[in-house]
Amino acid sequence: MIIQSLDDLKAIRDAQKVKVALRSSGDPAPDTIEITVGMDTCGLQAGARDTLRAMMEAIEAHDLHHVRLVKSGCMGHCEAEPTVLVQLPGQSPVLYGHVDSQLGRDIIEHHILGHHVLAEAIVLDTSDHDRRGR
Amino acid sequence: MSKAQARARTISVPDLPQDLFDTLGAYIASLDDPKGSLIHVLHRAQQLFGYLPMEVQLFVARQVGVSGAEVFGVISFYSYFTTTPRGKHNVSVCMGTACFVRGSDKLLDRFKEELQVTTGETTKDQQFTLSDVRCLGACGLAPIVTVDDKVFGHAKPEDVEAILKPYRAGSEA
Amino acid sequence: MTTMTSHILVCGGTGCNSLESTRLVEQFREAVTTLGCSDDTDVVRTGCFGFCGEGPIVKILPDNTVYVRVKPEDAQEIVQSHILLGRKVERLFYKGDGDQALSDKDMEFYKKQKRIALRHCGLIDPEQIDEYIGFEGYEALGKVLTSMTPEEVCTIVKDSGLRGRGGGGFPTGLKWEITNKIPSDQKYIICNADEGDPGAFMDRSILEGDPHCVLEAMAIGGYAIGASHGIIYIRAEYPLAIKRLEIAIAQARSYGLLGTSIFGTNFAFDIEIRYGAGAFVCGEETALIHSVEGKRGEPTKKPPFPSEAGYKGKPTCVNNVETFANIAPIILQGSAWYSAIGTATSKGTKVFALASKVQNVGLVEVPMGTTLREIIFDIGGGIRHHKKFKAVQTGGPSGGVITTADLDTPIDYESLKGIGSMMGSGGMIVMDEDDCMVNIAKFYLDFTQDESCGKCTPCRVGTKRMYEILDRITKGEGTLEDLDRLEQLGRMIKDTALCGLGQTAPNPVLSTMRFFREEYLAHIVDQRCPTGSCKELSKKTYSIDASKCIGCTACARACPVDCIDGKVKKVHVIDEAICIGCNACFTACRFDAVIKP
Repeated sequence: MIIQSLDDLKAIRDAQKVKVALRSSGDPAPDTIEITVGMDTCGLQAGARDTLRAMMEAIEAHDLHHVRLVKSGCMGHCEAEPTVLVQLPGQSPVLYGHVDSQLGRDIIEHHILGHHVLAEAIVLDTSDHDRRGR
Repeated sequence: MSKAQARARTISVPDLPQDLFDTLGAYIASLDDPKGSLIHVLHRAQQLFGYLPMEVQLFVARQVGVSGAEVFGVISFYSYFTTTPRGKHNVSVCMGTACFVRGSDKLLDRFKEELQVTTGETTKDQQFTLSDVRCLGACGLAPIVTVDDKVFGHAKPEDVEAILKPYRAGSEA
Repeated sequence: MTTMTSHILVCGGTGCNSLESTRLVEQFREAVTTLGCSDDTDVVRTGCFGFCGEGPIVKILPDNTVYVRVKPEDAQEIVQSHILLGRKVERLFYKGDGDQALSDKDMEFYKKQKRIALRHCGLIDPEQIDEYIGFEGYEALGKVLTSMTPEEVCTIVKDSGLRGRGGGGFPTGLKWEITNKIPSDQKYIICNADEGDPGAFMDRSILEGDPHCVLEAMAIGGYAIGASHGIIYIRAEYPLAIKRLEIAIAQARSYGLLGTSIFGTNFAFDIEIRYGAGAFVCGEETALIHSVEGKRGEPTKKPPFPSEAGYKGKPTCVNNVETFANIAPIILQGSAWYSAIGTATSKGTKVFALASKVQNVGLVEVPMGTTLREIIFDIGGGIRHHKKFKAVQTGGPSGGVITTADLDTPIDYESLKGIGSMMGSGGMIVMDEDDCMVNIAKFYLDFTQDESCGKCTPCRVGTKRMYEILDRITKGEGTLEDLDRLEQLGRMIKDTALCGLGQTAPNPVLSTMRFFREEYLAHIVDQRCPTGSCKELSKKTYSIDASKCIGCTACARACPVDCIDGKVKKVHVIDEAICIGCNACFTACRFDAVIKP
């Protein structure tokens, strides 16, 4: 292919944008939403990889640049795997349990985009159970 | 050296394979500006023959269309070119500043002792050529020795024997 | 499109490459395949991360975890534990900062750096043009060709304050403007990639890690001065950089970013590679041009300047690799952005190659005006093995030493000159209390007298004589008159040599004589090398302090000639008849029990 104009160039650049977003993550912006997926043995056993992939695709589909997907070890709620922790800036983290691919997509669509917490799937909402911990 | 002597010396050079000359000739013929690409031609020639004996120098001169003196002038100017045959393995000790400060001079001395040659020379059995080289740009590993393409970082004088051993074993086998 | 949730970046620079990073990449690819995550984990071989002393370096994204000294056999564990389970492999963390650093953002080495020239090194795969384009690559060229006149390009570069990074420090924009104004049917732009300063390797790292940024900047420069032909003059000793450049050129051609009617305009530009063959003097513009023409690389008198009559007698502009690496960001972000970084006379950032006795060996890029103390102690982590800092040599064989007294000087072109050194290409050789300054000066003179092209007498004969005097001093045969002779000769060579090589060659001697005169005197008057580096003066005089020796056997094990005798927990003794004065026992001893001569 021959690049004839700046638009041609931008087309190639856009095709690379996911890669770029991941590589240049650097310092998270103040409005960054962090979603942590528990990826320990029990989480993986329960299908955390599929969840992660589904959420990644949803983030991409909605073109969300301020969401950072992080993989972590066991979050301690092995009975509710796969678990996903959503942390909106300035708010207390919310932990979802039994997150399959569909619920993963729902979290992106309802919690992140719609600011509507999926109460029925919550394992631990730290704003209510402040010091409950584990 | 008189012309006759030079010619005599040219002839006395051990036979070099004709096909290498053909390859080199074809390469030179393919260039738009052979004269301006003399350094490239010499790089190619050294790659083919391993070194640049007088026969090759004169061949290049004729093909490119400059005098033999001019070709020799360029060869002697640049440290990358060599006019003597190399050993089977090239041992290079980096003499960049970073390596020097970390003691590469002592390392080189040890190699000289072990191989019984000085820098630029080849051992009697034609196995090793020892040279000191300019900065290889891997200063993080100083001091550095390379044997052919393999890099030995953080090398110490007491490592010399161990570094050479596998190459020596190979030559006996 | 496949979604990648993790990226494993493996350094593929020369330093890490020689530590089997190629095999490491293979092992990672194999591990992600066998462990079933190859469809969402990308293994990328990038350019240099700059942290060469701890290589091979591996960085995991998105969490920015940095692993150091990674071996091929560690790949499996990293994928298994970090990628699949999210558990970081702590044993491969960098431990130099005292506590364990989790990501590059926490590492002192990266904290104070500002990466412009090295912006893509360690971030993109240098063999993929798409990745470069993904990071705004070639947009500056597109912008220039479609919306700016050549004069405007010269102006923006001039206003940015960018100066030549190869050593001279000539304003780049001005150089372009001068070449632009000289009418000619053909002009040339040359990239000087003949990095000759021993101990500097930033140009190589840029070419290996981000070759397209140089190609793009050369095309921009070509447009600005009116050249359709670019030449990269590169050392034959950099095979990896040559390979990556060749790949990059082929890819740029296939996208039409090199060739005719670039970006649909009538601008045509192409680049060819020419090899150097190992000659330090070829860093000088006129010598370089002769070498590109296939001749001996001897300098000629200026004027005429290359901007008037250079390659093949046509107007030619020569810029260095690091200079080019700054061009695209200046075009895209503007001259005001760039000139806001740095000091009054020196704008932007500079890449330094930190080497030898410093803890963190590697490449660092900092804003002009950063102090040497920040570079050596904060970023570099101080001196290895808790030794004392003695001096740092900047500017390579053309520069001088800087001592503790000047560590807090903010660095720029002028300030370095003011303290008797120079910027040069950015090599920084850090020396500790064990390094002999006379020996260092001799090392540099040995280099310059060897590299002197022989065209002018002051340099050819003068540097040789200076070397001989230094050699005498290190052998204990020097006289006090030798010091005056060195000074006089040095000044004379500086004043009369033809080109930059000769004019700066005496600097290492003059500056060490200025700051460490007492060391020269010790060699001459006391017949003693205070650091024990000069073999002839320190031979057979090492001994062990019986009151301090605890009999740990460290010295005996370090001795290359087995001249140290002693049992465990008994005082050791050095056999002076065999001792070669190599200093190994002194370095090995942790109890200050070995006494230097």
